[in-house]
Amino acid sequence: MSSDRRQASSPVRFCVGASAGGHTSQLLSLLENDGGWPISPTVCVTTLDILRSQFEKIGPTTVIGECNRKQPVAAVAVFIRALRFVLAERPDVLVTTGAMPLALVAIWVKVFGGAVVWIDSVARIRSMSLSGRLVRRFADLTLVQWPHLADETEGIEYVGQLL
Amino acid sequence: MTFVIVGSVAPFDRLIRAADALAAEYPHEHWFAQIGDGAYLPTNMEYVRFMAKPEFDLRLAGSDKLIGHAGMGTISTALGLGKPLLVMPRDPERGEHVDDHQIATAEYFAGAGHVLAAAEAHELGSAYLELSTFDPVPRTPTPAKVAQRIGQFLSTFESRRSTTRQ
Repeated sequence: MSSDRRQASSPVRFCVGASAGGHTSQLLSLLENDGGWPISPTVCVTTLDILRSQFEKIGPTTVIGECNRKQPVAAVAVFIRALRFVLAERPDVLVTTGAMPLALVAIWVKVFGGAVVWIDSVARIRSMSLSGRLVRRFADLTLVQWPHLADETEGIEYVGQLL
Repeated sequence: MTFVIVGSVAPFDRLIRAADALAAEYPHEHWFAQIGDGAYLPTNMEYVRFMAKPEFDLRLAGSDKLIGHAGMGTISTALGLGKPLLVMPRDPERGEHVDDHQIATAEYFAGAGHVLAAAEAHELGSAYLELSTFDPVPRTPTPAKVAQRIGQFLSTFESRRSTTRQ
């Protein structure tokens, strides 16, 4: 079913995703300023049902639930939903502004051969998020939004701020 | 109207309780709160737990003062509309967030004149008095630069893909 749809649309399965709140605001800010990317998002992943309508303007949307590092049970559930999502959609590339639920999606995207772009939140001023520090180990591109957090030797780049 | 916002991810009873006390002090003012999954229910202001974007935007449009947690969604919304915002950062010691990044956010954005900040509930009242005359310093983010870098990555990614396919 989904493979037919994939062939009919863009050849690159391009997933964008973000958690609620500022993470979503940052992703939407990015997409509003894309200025003609070579490919367009084909599928979205987010964490709360109240965000669905905002994401569906971009593409078909899957909701995987919220979790954080202090909610291990919720995190396991989100990790499983993230796996189901990645198996169903097989993204070639994921662009995300966080947070932890999207780090879990990023792990599966990478496991199944996709590329990962992680943009650490502008809310992270003193240091990168825990999720960012995990994902940057395997991400294909890692951006931070404060110049002092960039690290050339680690390939962590600063180019600007989304919000 | 003063609109109180805790965001959609986690409750923030300490803020709602403090704002509710202010609402009792200033009953002539119209108060409306978005309280999330909080256990404390306001008695001096109207409230909802969550709102979809269209309703949220309507409430914002009708507000002249905002009080919120120090989340970037809330801060950027206020700055985007040029509305005065008073933030109280979530404190990890009180289980209000996973770490102290909202404290850093509140310090930075208040220091730059973008928002007012109150770390503790007892500081909210005096900060609220300043809010009606507070003129936020506009912020100029650079999303196009980030988008350009991502676009550059997507181009190499696209060509890499077509090469491997041939």
